[in-house]
Amino acid sequence: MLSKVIKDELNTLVGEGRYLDNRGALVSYSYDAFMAEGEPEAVLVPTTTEEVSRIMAVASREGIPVTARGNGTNLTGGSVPTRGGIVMVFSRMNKILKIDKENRIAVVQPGVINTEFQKEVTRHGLFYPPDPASMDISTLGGNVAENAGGPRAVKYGVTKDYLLGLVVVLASGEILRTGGKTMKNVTGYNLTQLFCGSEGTLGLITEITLKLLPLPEAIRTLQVAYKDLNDASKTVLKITEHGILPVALEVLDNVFINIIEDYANIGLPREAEALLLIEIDGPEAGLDEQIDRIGKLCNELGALEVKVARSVEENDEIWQARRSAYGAEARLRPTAIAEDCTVPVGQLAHMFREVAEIAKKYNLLIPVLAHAGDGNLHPQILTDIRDREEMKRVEKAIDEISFKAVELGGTLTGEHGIGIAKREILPFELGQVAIDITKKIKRAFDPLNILNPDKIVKMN
Amino acid sequence: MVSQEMNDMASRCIKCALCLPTCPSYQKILLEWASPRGRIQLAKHFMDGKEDETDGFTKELAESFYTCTACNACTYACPSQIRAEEIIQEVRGKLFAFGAAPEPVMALRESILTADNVYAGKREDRIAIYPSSIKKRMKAGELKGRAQTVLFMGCVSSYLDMKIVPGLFKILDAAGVDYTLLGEEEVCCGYPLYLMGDEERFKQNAKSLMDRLKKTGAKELLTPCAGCYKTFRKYYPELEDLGVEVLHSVHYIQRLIEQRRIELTINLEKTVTYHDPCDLGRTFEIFDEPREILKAIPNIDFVEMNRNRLMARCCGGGGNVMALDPGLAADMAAVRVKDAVEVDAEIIVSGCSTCKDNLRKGVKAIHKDERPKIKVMDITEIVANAIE
Repeated sequence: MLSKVIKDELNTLVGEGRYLDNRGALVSYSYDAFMAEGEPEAVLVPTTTEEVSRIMAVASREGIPVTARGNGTNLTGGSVPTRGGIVMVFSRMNKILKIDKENRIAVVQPGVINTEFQKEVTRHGLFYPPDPASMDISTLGGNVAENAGGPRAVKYGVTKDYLLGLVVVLASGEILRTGGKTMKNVTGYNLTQLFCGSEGTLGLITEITLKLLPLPEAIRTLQVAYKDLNDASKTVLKITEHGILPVALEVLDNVFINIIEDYANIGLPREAEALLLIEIDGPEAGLDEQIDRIGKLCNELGALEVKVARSVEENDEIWQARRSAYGAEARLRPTAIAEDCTVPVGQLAHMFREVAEIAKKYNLLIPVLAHAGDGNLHPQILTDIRDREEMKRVEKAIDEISFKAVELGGTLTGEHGIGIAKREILPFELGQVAIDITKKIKRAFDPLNILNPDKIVKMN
Repeated sequence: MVSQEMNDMASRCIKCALCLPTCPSYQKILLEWASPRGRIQLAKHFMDGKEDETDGFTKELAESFYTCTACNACTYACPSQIRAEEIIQEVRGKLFAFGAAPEPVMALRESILTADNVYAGKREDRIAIYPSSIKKRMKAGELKGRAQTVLFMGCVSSYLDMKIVPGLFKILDAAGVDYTLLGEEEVCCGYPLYLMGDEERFKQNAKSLMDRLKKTGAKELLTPCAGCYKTFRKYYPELEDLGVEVLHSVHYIQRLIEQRRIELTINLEKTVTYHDPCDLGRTFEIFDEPREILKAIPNIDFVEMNRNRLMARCCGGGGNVMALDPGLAADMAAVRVKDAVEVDAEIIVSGCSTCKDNLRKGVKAIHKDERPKIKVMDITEIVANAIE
């Protein structure tokens, strides 16, 4: 428990209105988008690196746990303060500090929202590709801490691929600057990347330098329905064999196609086993020819129907199916757990079948959507958190799905992180050596175990 | 405890946060308790008996629920189709009953109960903005007590210089409409009482106003105020049948244009955008009428803001927030003003006196170095300017 003296000290550090410990504030910072909940003892809303540093000095002096939080969209409980202590909210450190068109970089505070950043760089003719589904809400600080990815990962990679440098406040309160402003930088260990995906367990990110690309001239989208999921999977592999690297390759399974049709009635073929969405970009010249080649390939591989979008409106129509997915599933059951296993692209169809088998085995409804181009599947487990018996089956199904992905040469999580959700099964993939070295790294940065304790690995 | 229905609805929240970007109060306050997700979780936590209610009903909890502008945008982003507005309204009722409504909101209540208007203005000042010709007719007893149409101006249009009241008279007189009005006898429709959760006083006020309106024998009630319109059309019928057709000025003006009873002839060479008031747009899906009216003005260049119709961004003036925290309301309005600037609008038109009042304050809330040259007008005003 935080003593009155400590509370007063923290209050003085940030000032009125940015130190909160009333019941309402504590309850409203007790959750993120995952199921688990836990109340903090105080909520602090810093606006500068120096403030964060001063708060951490007190936290390390007193051994107070500190959980960083942006807008709380985390799907694995990464921003839930399971041990109480302080929640450090970065939503008000939300300034874009610099967009340097010449060097194609930007410097931002961690609370800037992904979409707002994208809009701003677009105005400068630049492009920031990472596009997590939460992009309208999630902050760049959170994106870095979780190494967020999205549909565009196929061609453009994920957050780490755009990360050049950081300002990080360490557990001790010391301020660390990593990386720099250059595309190339091999000076010393790559500390920048160590923080990317560290889920707030190694330090608190207070400033981010990001690499930007020139804005692609044009986009084309295809929607292809397949009777057989294997054909969709083959298409994904064949397109790249033909020398085309799409921006995104998204797949929805038959369960999703039908629940989306029930919900949005947009004319998807209900009999299809898979719906494949393909997006390509590049210079306007030659793009139509590329899309025609892909369309032809899809037909050769047994597509039921091929729909090409040649305007912004048509493009929007095609993406509507994907966008309706969450609305459609939320109507069916009160709880939706977004699974996040990833397999090598060649194992995609196999993994889809495994998920269907597991759903059958545990009598659960698990529609699947996948970033097929990078093998990242999101089985959506639709359930009711209040139904204890069913939740037991859900837990078993999640573990089995995760183990199967690893067995197929994949990984436990592609983009949602480990957090609390997958902490217990982490050793299954990493093995003891990796767990040990992970703990040693954690101790080097955070000897008192105050930074987001209990996330990724439990220290004791 | 909240009702079972509200509790069930709140438990459907999957905490996905898709509501956060739609919420005007969250966008400015940037703290979870000011978001729809936060309010739903707080309602669940403090209202399901988990915690002693007396601990929960703090000043801060009231701040969470009373900073909601009741714009209802979150409902349209919610995959679980939770109607947060209804949960929030119910919690406000509890907070009010518990004596936890914020002091500025209670002051607003006092104004309505003692002076029959939201500004604690004098009764005779309600018609100060009326054109002198109308005042003369009223004084001479020339204005009929009974007519086909009864006008209901609303407190904001009457007590503030909104150019709405004179505009409406100009339009109606040009069309030769047979109307009557309550004039100095008009009283607040009670919407703010409803919003603060004072159901009892809302009902009393509504009952007495309904009786007065019925005495006019009117077949239709015409109001330029979106809030009054919502109250008469949505909340009064829950109490009893008002017995008249309730029309907003956008309905009425559109009808007059269609019937060629007024003609919009004066050129307006300006880029104009329309801001959907929450009480007309999301509540009743009144989207086309105002746009058709604007497009009927000669030489107007009409543009849409990126967020419009069902997803229109609230100006921040609703839900009694202008009374609770005028600075916050103006800051929210500034965000909406910037939406209009983004599409190069020179005039923002709305169909709501509160929107107009707050958007004007929003322009001023933008730092003077960045302040745009943009005019805020009501639809009655811009139409009145377009007729000879």
